[in-house]
Amino acid sequence: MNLHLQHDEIRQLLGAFALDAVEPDEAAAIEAHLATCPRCRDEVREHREVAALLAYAGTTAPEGMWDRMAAKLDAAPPASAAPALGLMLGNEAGGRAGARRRRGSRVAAAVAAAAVVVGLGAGGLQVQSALRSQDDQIEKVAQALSEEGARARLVREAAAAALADGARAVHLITPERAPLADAVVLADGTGYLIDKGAPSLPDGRTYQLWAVAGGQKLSLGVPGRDLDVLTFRVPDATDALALTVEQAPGVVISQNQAVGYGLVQR
Amino acid sequence: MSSTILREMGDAALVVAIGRWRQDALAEAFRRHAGAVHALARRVLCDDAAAEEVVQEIFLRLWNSPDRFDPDRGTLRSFLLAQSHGRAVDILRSDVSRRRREEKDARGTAEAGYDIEHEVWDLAVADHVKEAVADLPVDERRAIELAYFGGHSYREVAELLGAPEGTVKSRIRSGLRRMRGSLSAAGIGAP
Ligand SMILES: [Zn+2]
Repeated sequence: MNLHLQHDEIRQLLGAFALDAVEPDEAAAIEAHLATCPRCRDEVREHREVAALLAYAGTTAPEGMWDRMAAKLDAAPPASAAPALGLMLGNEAGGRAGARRRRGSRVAAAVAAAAVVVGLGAGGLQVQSALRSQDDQIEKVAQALSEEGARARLVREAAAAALADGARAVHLITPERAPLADAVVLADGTGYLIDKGAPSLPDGRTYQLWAVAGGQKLSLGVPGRDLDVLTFRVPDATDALALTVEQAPGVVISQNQAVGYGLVQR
Repeated sequence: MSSTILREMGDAALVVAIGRWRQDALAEAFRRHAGAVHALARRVLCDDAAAEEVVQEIFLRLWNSPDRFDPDRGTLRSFLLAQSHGRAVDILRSDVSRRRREEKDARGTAEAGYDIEHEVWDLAVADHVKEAVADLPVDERRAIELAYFGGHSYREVAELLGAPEGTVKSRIRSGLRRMRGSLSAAGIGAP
């Protein structure tokens, strides 16, 4: 078997490769090639997306499968450590903190890199030209632009959302008018929030994001000690977003004054 | 519990939450995709218990190394399905399951082949996928069926169909591209 396949031979095999239908030595040669050839990588990705559409979805996994699987998850944070409401991306409860911290710092670097793009709007212009319809396209474009993994992708989704038709901006500021966070709310109620200089909170405290709708405050998420970036859903007729500081892991009804507040611009 | 919000999160955000050791996020990913992952593994392996092992392995891998999922390389669904398929094919090609495979081939012949049309998912895209499959030249369709659902290598497919190997690999590739073309025209799949 010739391991030094020509480019054309490699290309001819990409369909079979995507379906795991090549011999092991061919697979090794193709994988080595993919590492250096973005065009062939794209083609494999495309074939796999088509294959995924062919695969029968079933409806849900058979009864009991999740329970049997969950029993094997080791060192998972206990369910009681999860917040009562909302996202808790900053949750650090449970074991194996070292591993998580390493992952966290890698993610933080990626977010910082992506935040530059958001700030300059450079990625945004590319996004805008590619933006056709709101919902699906945002996901696709953000996916195409993302180079730093899932976390940074969220940042870029937020950047794309800011440019979408019907997107409404929210600038959350402190009572002293210092910027805390920027948010964007899309027509379908999807929202993204990005930190704009909110201070880190001490241990045991968390930010909590609220929608103010018809005089009521509804919890949207519990980002943790740092705001960072999060996605959320707002109810219809949301007039404003508010941030409070609560005891971790967050509360159902806040008794505290908002530390930040911003009107949803029309 | 935050299940409402998790249910509305995109897959990429879900994987971020899994990276933060949110077991409920893994449960949500499982709810969304385990049925498909299991159905595909079972389709290839013809064995419920072995298919469940594949499902567990794939989701434990996601739990332990969520950063292996790169949204640049496609959707979470296709990532999980590709992993499930690869694992199922590995098992199929191992000695242990050789006999099971021979039984399966005998059954496959008795059933007069596989039928992609019964395997497409029953969501909004199903009709378009069915159409795209129906539009494939029959040779391309058979080659893809035998490779993907039968777990056969293109060489084995060539043998089964009595066609040259080179022809089979180009049928698989052109069939996949043709489907992608008709699906994109219908607004399905990545741009
Ligand atoms: Zn190439």
